[in-house]
Amino acid sequence: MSCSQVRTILYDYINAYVDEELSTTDHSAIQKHLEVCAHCANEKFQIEQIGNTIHNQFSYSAPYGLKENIRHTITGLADSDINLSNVAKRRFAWRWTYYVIPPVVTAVAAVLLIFSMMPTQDEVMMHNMMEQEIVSAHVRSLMEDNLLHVESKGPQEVKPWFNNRVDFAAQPEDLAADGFSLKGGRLDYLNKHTAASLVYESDDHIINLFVFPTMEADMKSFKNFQNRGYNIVKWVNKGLEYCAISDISLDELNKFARVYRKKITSPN
Amino acid sequence: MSKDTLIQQFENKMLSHMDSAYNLARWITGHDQDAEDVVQEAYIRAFRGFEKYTDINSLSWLLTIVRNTSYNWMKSKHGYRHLIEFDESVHSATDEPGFVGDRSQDFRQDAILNSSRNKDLLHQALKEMPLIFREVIVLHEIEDLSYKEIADIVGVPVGTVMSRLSRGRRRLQKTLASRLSRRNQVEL
Repeated sequence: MSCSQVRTILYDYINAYVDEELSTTDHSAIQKHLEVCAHCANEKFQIEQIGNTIHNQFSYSAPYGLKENIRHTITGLADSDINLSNVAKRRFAWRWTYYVIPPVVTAVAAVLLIFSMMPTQDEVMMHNMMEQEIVSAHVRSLMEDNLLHVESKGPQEVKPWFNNRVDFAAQPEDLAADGFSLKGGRLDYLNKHTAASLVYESDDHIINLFVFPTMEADMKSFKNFQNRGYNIVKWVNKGLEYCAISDISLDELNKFARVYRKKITSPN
Repeated sequence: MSKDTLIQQFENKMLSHMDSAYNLARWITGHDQDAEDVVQEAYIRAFRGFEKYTDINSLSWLLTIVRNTSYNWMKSKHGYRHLIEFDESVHSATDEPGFVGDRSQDFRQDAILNSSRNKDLLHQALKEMPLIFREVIVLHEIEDLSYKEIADIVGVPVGTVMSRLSRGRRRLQKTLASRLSRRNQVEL
C-alpha cells in the first residue's frame, strides 16, 4: 500500500470521526491519536470549521409564499387530477414568444416531429401508466405481507407452480452465485394480463422481476427509469416484457438484469 | 381516507420540510426560480404517492423526490452535459489523496472564515464543485443527515457517501487554500 493510499484512509477516518459515524472502537482509537498528533488535530479542526460555516451560513430558506402556493396546488390536485405536464405548461404561459411564433409553423413542425421521431402522446401516456402500475405493484407487494405466493427452495419448485397459472414460460433462475437469491414467486396483474413476479433478494433488499406478454418489439439493450425513488430496468424479448424494480442502486439492478438475461438465453 | 384528512396529514408531515426541500433544490440547480419550480413539482409528486407512504422517514423520502426532480429538471433545461457522471479517472489527477494541511499550515482557517470576503470564496467553491460531491456535502452539513440517510437518498452504498464526503471536503479546502494564496499574492 502506498503512502498516499494510507493518507487517504486516515483522512477518511478523521472525516467520519468528525461526523460521529465511526464504531466505538474506531472512534476512541482516532480520539487517542488526535490527542498526540498536531497535524491530524489540525485537519479535524479545519473540517469542523468549514462544516460550521456551511451549516450556519449557506442554507437557503424557501421564499415567502411558496408554501401557500403549494398548499393551494395540493388542494386543487385533490379536487381534480391535474396532469403534471399541464402544470409545467402553465408555468411558462407568461412567455409571450409562445404567442408570437406563427401557429402554422409550429403546427407543421410538430406534425413532422411527431410522425418522424417522437413517440406519440398515446405511447407516452401508456408508458407512464405502465411505469405507475409497476411501481404500485412493487409497493403493494412490500406492504401487504403479500410478497410471496410460492416460497422457493430452488427454481425447480417455483417453475411448475407458474406453469399451472400463466400461459407463458416464467423462468425463475438461481442467481445466488451472483448475490441475488431467489425467494419465490407471486402472481400480479399488469398490462391487462396476468403477470409472473419473480422475487429476488440482494442484501435484504427486495427485487421484483415482473414478466408479462407485450406487443412491443424486442429490445437489445436495457432501458432505465426512476420513479418515486425506485429504480426500474426494462427489456423485451420474444413477446415478453421483463421489468425489474427495486430500491437498490441502478448499477446493481442493471447487474441483476444482465446476469438474469444471460442465464435464460444461454442454455446450459 | 377522506380528502380533507389526506390533505391535513400531508401538510402536517410534508410542508414542515419545505426549507430543506428548497435548500437542496437550490444547491443542485443553482438558481432561485428553478429551485422554486422543482420544489413545486416535487411536492405534487409527493402528494400523488403520499397515501402509500405513511410510516417512513418523511424527510428522506421527500428529499429523494426533490433530488430526482432536480436532476430531471436540469436535464430538460440544460441537456445531459451538466449531469455527466463525474469521471474518477479524469479528475483524480488534480484530486490527489493526502492532507490539505501540508500546504495550508501558513494560515489558520478560523481566522480566515471570519471575514466575509473569505466566506464568499468558500461559497463560490461549493457552488462550483461537481454535483456528486456538492449534494452529499449539502445533505450532511446543512441538513444534518447521517451517512445511511444520504446513501438512501443518493442511491449509493454508505462507504461511497463516506468517501465522497471526504473527497469533497478535501477539494473545498484545497480550492480555498489556493484561491486565498492567489489573492494574497495579488494584494502584495
